[in-house]
Amino acid sequence: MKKLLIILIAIVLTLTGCGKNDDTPIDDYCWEQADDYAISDESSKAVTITVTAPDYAQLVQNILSEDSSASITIDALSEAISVSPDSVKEYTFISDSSDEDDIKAAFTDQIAKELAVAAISRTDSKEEWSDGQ
Amino acid sequence: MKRLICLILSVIILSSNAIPASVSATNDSANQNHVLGLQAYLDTDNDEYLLRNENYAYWGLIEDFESDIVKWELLNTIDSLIHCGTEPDVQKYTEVLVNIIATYDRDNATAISEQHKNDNKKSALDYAMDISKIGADAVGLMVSTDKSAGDLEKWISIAVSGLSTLAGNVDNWIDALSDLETLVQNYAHYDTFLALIQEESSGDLKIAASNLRTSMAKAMQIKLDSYTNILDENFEQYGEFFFSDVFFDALKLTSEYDSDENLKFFIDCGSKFADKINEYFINQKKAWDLGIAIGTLVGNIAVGGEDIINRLHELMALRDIGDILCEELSRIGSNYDTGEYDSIIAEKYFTLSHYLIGCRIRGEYCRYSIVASDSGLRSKFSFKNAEEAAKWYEEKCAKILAIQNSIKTACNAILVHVETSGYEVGELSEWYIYDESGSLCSNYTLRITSKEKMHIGAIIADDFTQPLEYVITTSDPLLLELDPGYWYGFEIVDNANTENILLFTVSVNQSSEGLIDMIEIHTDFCAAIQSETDPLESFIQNCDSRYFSVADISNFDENDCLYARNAIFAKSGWIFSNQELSNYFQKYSWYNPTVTADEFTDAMLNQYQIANRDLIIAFESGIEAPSANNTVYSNEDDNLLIIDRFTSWYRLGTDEYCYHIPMISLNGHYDYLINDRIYNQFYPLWENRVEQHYKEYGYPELSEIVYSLGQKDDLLSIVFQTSATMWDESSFYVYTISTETGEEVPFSELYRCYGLTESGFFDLVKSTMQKYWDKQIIDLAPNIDAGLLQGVIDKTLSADNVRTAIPYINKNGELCFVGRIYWIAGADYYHHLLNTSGYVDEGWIECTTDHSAN
Repeated sequence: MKKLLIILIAIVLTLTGCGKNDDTPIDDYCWEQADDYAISDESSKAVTITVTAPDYAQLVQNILSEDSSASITIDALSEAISVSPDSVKEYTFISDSSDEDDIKAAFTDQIAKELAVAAISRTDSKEEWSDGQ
Repeated sequence: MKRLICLILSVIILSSNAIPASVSATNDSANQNHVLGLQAYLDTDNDEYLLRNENYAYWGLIEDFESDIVKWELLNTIDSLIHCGTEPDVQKYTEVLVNIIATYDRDNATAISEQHKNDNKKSALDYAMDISKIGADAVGLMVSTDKSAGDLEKWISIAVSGLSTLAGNVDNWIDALSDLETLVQNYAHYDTFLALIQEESSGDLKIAASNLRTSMAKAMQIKLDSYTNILDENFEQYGEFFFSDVFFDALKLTSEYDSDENLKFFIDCGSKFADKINEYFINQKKAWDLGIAIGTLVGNIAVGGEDIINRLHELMALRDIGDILCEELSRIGSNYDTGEYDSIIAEKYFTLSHYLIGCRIRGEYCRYSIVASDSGLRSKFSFKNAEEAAKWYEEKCAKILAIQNSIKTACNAILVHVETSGYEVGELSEWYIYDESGSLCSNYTLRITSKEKMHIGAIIADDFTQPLEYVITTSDPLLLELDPGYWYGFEIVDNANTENILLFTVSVNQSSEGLIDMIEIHTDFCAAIQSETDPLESFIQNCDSRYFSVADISNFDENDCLYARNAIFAKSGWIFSNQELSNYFQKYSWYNPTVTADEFTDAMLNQYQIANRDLIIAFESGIEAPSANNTVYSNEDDNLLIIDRFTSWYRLGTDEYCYHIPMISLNGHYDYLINDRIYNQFYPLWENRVEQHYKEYGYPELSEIVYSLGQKDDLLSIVFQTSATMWDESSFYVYTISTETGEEVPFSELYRCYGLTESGFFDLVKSTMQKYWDKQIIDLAPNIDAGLLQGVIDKTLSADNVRTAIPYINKNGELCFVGRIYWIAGADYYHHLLNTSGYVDEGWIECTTDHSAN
């Protein structure tokens, strides 16, 4: 039953992906994959947003682990989502306002930040204080 | 140059009523000081510390980053999302260059203030000579670049002519001229730096350097042109800082601001810096501190906020600029020879070193801010929390600032100098010896300690066996005759303090027609050189500027400890009632006894002095400790110990038990710093845990406290772990320290000790966690949903989680680790101490103290 469900989700996601093409900006695509967002703190002008969406940092790394020189396109992301439908996460971030355009921009920034963290996480930090002699 | 000299002469004429009657021709030793200072600096390790890229974590991070295609693809994806570019662009390079230059502008504030004090003592003639020399030096520094040197010469001449309108008012005239001196000096430095970057770079960095150079030249021209309007009423606006708000406000009103895009970008960038810096340092009366505040505040003003991608680009820019500086400094340093006397080269070296220091501090700050703001990265880079990352940055700043200080010392230390009336073969020459304040010395002994024949640069004979000695007790010039073709060694001893010695040598060229070359070394340099080999001298000189470890003072005897401990207070001006100590510190030029015991407070000590004072005190008590072995913990101090593990629910009450944190004793000495750190981190945590439990349940309790020690080879691991209740997440600290130095070592040392690489260690962690779950699953599987169980196993074995594991050595000398095991109830995960067989490590130390007696 569970397998059947996964296959169904994969088919739906694949079909959804087929409707895309690389003319669509990738940030629009990422935003479309997100569930409805929730505003959790509106006490000041900036608002805190929570939204569940694919774990893009993980998905991009999955794609690159298969082929380190692969280009990250919407098709590649769609395929990765279909292969790992459970790879979702809850994003929490701050938006300048409750306007949807602002929230989308903040969401995109959050994904970019997490990708940057993923990239830096792959870095080794060697530090050895010496005069080199 | 002719134009400049003519104008200087015109200023002299305008001010001729202020010229003193008798001034003999002098050899200014300032240039020689730079030459000698550079030689002394190159003889230390500090230049190597500065130039060695591997010493800097930001450099390693960005080098490693760029060598991995996957990371580039991740950056490409980020670029697709937010269109930030994968590399720094012209604007980013420009911002980073402005940051480095503006920081240097302000960092000169102290030197400028000192210079102004001295300037007020100068006569008009002195001033005219100064501006002539500085203008010539500035042009000389820039002469190898391009036509900008000629432009500067023209602009200075316009500015100086403007100053003639102030000549009637000597005070204002001097202030304005003093500011002009500084401005010209600094501008020459900026242009030298930008010219180098422009010449040695390519692509966007080259364009940025070129644009910035052109824009700054335009701004400088506008600034110097404005001197034609200088009046008594407005002279204060002609300040010494290039990056001043008044100046940038004026620039915004020019037509060029609207018509020149590059100039506008520079003015906006510089203006932002000037406004903020004034607000912060002047309105809030904060002191300028090149280190932490500059890495943070100044950099952020010029280059932007804490955005991680912004930081990555800045790191790339800093690496590119730093690489060019390193290469040039290495080239100058390796070819440098005081025999080829060239003060311009020495000045260039110091200037570029300052800019490289700026790159290093800012680079380490960017790396720190990236890592500290993300928990995953903190863990990846071995920081347990943001505070620990901040401490790393502070310590790194202290190391870089020690280099900065040594550069400043090399530039400025030679204050005592010797002047002669010029030398004619076969005739007596007049020698004037000046002290640090510029006054003629009148109570000294001059010795000629050696006289050696020169032959094509080599010494072939030493025919001077008995030192010649002249005891001088007046300020009359000393009359000397030197033979051409010889090297002379001189020694000048202050008769009031015979340890105050100035050493210098003189060579009289074989074909001399009246000129001599002198090399001199100030007493501070003698002390600095001595401190390289004398640990006590090093401690005394540096106890207020860096942290010392037990290894640094391991050979101190009781007397050394006495002087070292009191040097910390002497640095703050303590007036010693003990005559011996008072005499001892009088020999140091920095000792200024002004604070009585009643007036003294700890607030007069800086962080280094406090830490070093405590280190010495702890070390002195360690010397007296009867037991001295390498690795055992001791628990003599009943007020502080905690060594128990409580495996069951445990009621805490001060009337029932006492608790201990052991002191670690290494090589017979208590290493204060590591013990202090353990105590300060663990004790508050433990108290918070108890308090947390008390607030929640109404009574204090701890679920467990673990303390363990283990050693392999020269490494010692100490583990603390505690939790308030059975179900909350535990907290732990792991310290791995070198038993040789008492200092913490990176995890890589531990991996090395067990023949592992970092990735090998994490593979081991993963397989161990798998073994752990293989054992657990046998009991859990029948009762718990398989999907739920698999979920926590997967989370435990995920790469991200595996990489949070912290290695340590258990009491059997085995490699173990603290790892996060995800769980199905309670906290998300618990920290487990696991050995490589997948069992919980039970290597903790059982307390042997009889608590029931309390």
